[in-house]
Amino acid sequence: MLWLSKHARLRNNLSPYIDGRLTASQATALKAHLAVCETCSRELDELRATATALNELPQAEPPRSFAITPEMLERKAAAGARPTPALGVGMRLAGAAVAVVLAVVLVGDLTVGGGGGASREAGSQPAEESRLAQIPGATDTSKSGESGAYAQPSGNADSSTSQSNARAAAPCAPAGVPAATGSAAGGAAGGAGGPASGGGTSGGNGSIETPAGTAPPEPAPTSTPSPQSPNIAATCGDASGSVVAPVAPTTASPSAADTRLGAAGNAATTPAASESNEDGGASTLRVAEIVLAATLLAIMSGIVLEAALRRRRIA
Amino acid sequence: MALGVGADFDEPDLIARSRQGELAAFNVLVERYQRPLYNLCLRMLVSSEAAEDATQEAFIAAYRAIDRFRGGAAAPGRPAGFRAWLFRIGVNACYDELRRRRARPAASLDQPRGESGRAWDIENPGPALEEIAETAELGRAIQEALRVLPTDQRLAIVLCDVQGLDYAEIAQVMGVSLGTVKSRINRARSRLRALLLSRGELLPSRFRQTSEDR
Repeated sequence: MLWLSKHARLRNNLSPYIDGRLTASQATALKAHLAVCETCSRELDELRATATALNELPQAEPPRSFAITPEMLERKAAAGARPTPALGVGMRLAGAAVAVVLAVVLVGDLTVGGGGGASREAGSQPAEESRLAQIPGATDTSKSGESGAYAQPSGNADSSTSQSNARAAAPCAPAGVPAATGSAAGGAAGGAGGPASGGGTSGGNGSIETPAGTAPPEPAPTSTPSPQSPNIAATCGDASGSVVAPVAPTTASPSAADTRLGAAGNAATTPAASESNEDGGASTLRVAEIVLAATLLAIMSGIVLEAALRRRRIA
Repeated sequence: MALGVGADFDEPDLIARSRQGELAAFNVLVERYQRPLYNLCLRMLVSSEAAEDATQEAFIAAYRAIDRFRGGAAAPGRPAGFRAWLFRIGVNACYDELRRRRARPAASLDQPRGESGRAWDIENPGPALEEIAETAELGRAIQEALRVLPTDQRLAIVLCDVQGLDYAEIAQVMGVSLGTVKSRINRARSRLRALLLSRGELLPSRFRQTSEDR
């Protein structure tokens, strides 16, 4: 029994022994064992022959010189600078669509005189936003490994895009109402795009069906809504739309998807709350919400379509 | 100025000049290391086309990141810095390629799968590797056995037995501890031994030969 466990332990030392990685005492112990154990001494021979055979494998000649030309560096730089073409265009369109819808919703919201409910989200949503923006960046970092030296071109592009968008979104945050709505709806777009079909549809419906009155009426924000608010909202909408959207096709992690769906839920309550404040603008808001939901669905199907096209192109 | 690969090959100097943006100096390093790096990628990716891409990608990435390379020549506790650093970049390129293959299994439908049909076993052996394998039946057997190993074990054993790196350098390339290197090599070599043994006629003559040499 004792001999067997010793045998098992020493057997693991055979390979390091071949490579000269044993201490003097370990080597002495192994040699003593080899002298009495035929199994181990045969295995040592076989392992040694394996190593020799690998060592004697012929080396292939490189098919060409890998010397770097200035053109290669330029080409690489150009490839790294722009995001994946088809997806980039789609995201920009999606962002623009979200911005337009947001503007419509906000104008409706402001003419009605509500908008109190929206300020509630101002504090929490931007934080969520930056978290979402970090997701693509994080995956890219892990992908490029620990050396940090090697960064994949496309990964680079994604990560820089999302980060710059995150920065673009950040200044909007203090703006209060528009920022809150912008980021929340951006979250909704992400939620719709994330899970391929089921979750997306439910997210879209959610923003129509959510009953009003769940949130208590809130006082109007201290900063009076100015005519330029829709403009700010449009900028934010564009930024957040394209920030969140790149996450969607990757369908990152369950937790990320949850976050996005949570954001979608918040987005749904925002207009609903103000609706409870002012019954007069209810029909305007209804229409706006329906348009928003339809646009989100369109974006979602666009993303799915693009992902499919992209996959086919790569394959 | 003569930039030949020979006795006047001064690696730290070439690295220093590459840092200053002298592409010609870096290309001397490329010339020096392209054969081992290409072969490493070839063993990892099996496809000669993929190995070519990974090698080129790695050299370009290395040139861009040369500022981040610390240390010049071999030093105690940090052996042969540049080669390990470069290989690490090459290995990352290979892992990225392997990940890409896993990410789009659809591609495998268009290409004949390997015998074991595993995820990392999608590519058909390229012409270069076929050429190598033809030189010896043993070579073919080894290549097939290597493909059965998990990627980390395959990398460890290729670096050790095919490329001839020592454990410390392998640890540097793989970014793991010496203990991990030791166990990966141990497992990989035992597994290869078993796989080659199961092929029967290929190895006994070799074993006898080695036994007599002893």
